[in-house]
Amino acid sequence: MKKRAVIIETKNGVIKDANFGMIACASKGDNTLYAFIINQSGEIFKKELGSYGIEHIVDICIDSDNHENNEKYEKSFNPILFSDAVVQAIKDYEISSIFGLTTPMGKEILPRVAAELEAPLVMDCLDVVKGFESSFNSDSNLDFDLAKTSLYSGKTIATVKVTGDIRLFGIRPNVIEPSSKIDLSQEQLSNITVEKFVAKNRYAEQSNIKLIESRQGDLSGNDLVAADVIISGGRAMKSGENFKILNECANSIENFGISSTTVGASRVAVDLGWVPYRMQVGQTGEKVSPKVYIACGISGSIQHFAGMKMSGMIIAINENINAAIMSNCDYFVEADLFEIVPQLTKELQKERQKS
Amino acid sequence: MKIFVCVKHVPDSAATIVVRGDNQIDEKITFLLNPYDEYAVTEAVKLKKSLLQGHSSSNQIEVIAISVGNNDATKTVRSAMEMGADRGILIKSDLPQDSISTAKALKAAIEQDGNPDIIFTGRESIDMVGMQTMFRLGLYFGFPVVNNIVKFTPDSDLLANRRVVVEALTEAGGRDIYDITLPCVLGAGRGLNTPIYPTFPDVVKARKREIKIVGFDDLVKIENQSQPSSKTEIIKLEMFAEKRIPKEIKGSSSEIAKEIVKILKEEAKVI
Ligand SMILES: Cc1cc2nc3c(=O)[nH]c(=O)nc-3n(C[C@H](O)[C@H](O)[C@H](O)COP(=O)(O)OP(=O)(O)OC[C@H]3O[C@@H](n4cnc5c(N)ncnc54)[C@H](O)[C@@H]3O)c2cc1C
Repeated sequence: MKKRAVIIETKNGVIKDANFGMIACASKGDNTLYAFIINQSGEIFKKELGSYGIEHIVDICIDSDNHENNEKYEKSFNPILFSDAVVQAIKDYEISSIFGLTTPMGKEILPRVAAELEAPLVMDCLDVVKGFESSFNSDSNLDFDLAKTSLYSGKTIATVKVTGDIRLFGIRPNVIEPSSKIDLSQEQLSNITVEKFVAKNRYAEQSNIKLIESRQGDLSGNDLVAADVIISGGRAMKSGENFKILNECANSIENFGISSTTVGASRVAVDLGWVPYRMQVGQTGEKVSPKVYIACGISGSIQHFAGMKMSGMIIAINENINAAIMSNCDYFVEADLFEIVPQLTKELQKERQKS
Repeated sequence: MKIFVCVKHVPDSAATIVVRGDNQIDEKITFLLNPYDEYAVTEAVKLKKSLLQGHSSSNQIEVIAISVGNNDATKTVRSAMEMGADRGILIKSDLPQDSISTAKALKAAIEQDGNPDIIFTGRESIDMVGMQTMFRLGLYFGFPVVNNIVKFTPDSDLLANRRVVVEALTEAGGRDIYDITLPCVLGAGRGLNTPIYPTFPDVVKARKREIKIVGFDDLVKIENQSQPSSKTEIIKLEMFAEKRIPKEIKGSSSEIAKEIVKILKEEAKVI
């Protein structure tokens, strides 16, 4: 049986939800499923990962015994060092396909690993299926995978044939439904292995590049790409200060404890300096697929749509009935956002008290 | 010092895409310089200017725009020259190429041209969004690679010390700061600079500059590949079906708000 590995991403010690959709995708077909956990103990995730079908957990860590700076390596995440560690683990475990998320971490690790192995990689996959299960297969001896991804600013969906001894896939967070959890028996649980893989520190030998500082971003909020609900503001917000009404609304959704909710923005709101770039949704910002996208005072340009058209539901609040977004959404409200949004927050709070 | 900038000829993000055949698009639309590559060209030209101020003579420092594409891609190479690149190279390929072959072709053509000191790229192309060519290029050369850089600080005596410090954007607005010894490959991210907007005299000057054309197949030979089976290939392209049927929510503000709450709860099930 072929071995597939998923690279697990955690945040503040918890497995990000987006991993489970990726596992569902990787577990299609007859494969032995490995989870690579970088620089953390996998033991604590055993039950959770096992219930989604992971059979083997590999803790990837770095051999730092022979290095004076080991303290520093343990704490910070060094993409060059860890990509190389993943390469070593892939070879050691003879993994044939590697799945990761198309997140800032995935965008660092997957291409570095693919380059090192000279292996094909498709980023931002919406799905991956085995070639032999498809209508594209003329010869059942051919071994290939088919990755679906969106190209040309989200205007087209491409099927990409991927061949090679080792193949890599970056999965877009949130588009693939996780499979339902299985209740593991004691025996099943004890069959899941957790191993430590100690990679050689080949980065230490490299003299032409040094990571001298890692400044952490603001990890307190929810990830834009992984959020269930996004409420975004555009030019109509008029100032950065006014985004507070969106934050309040997001909080009142988050307070139900069901959906991670966060605030996004159009490029105009970013370019005018109202909110940081990491909040930008669109062609040149983040590509998001939340369950619900609420666009407040956003016209719905092609470039904005390129980032949010995969949303489950789009609700547009706009004064102008002729704005493009009003004819390409699920619900629209023709009104002033400054009236609707605070009112919505109020109603959400009322609803929360009821339940 | 040779500074290369890899640029890609991509469909205008606002263009209407029409699928032709199984896996191609109708190319009778506007193509232009990939937006992220504008930051790359700008940074390269800025670096050249600052080195010239440090009294290096202008023929010592060269910015070369290089692209893999069809004949029409000369326009994109020309755009990079209007922004200040000294000359251009087009690696002509009528077929679309995947990241692996693109990186191989770039490596071969750059090497043929001379020893690179810095190779800039954009952080991704907006048409294919492969996010990997810069990493492969770096690996083929054996150069360090940092992608999505938002700050570039050359050593005050770059020609002698050959060192740069760059900041790469990471999760949630974080930054990884690297100290790099040249040569290297750097992928430009948004925020690195404000792209140069060429003036009319820039455009005129660029017309006189040379674009060398080399054949893709002359650079990349299938027979001497280490992993010949490693490949990605678009076999099918379909229009993304927009299937939303908008429904209006009407009423007073509070009625509208109540209705949205109901939708979020009963239909979307997010609260
Ligand atoms: C290469 C390229 C890449 C780009 N990348 C991106 C990207 O990644 N993301 C992105 O968003 N854009 C991107 N753009 C920009 C894009 O073309 C649009 O300019 C931008 O999306 C418009 O932002 P907006 O909808 O906030 O502003 P506008 O288009 O100005 O729309 C504002 C809307 O607010 C409405 N409005 C005003 N006041 C109110 C009110 N009080 N209540 C309710 N509604 C109100 C108006 O009716 C209008 O529809 C890109 C452009 C290019 C060329």
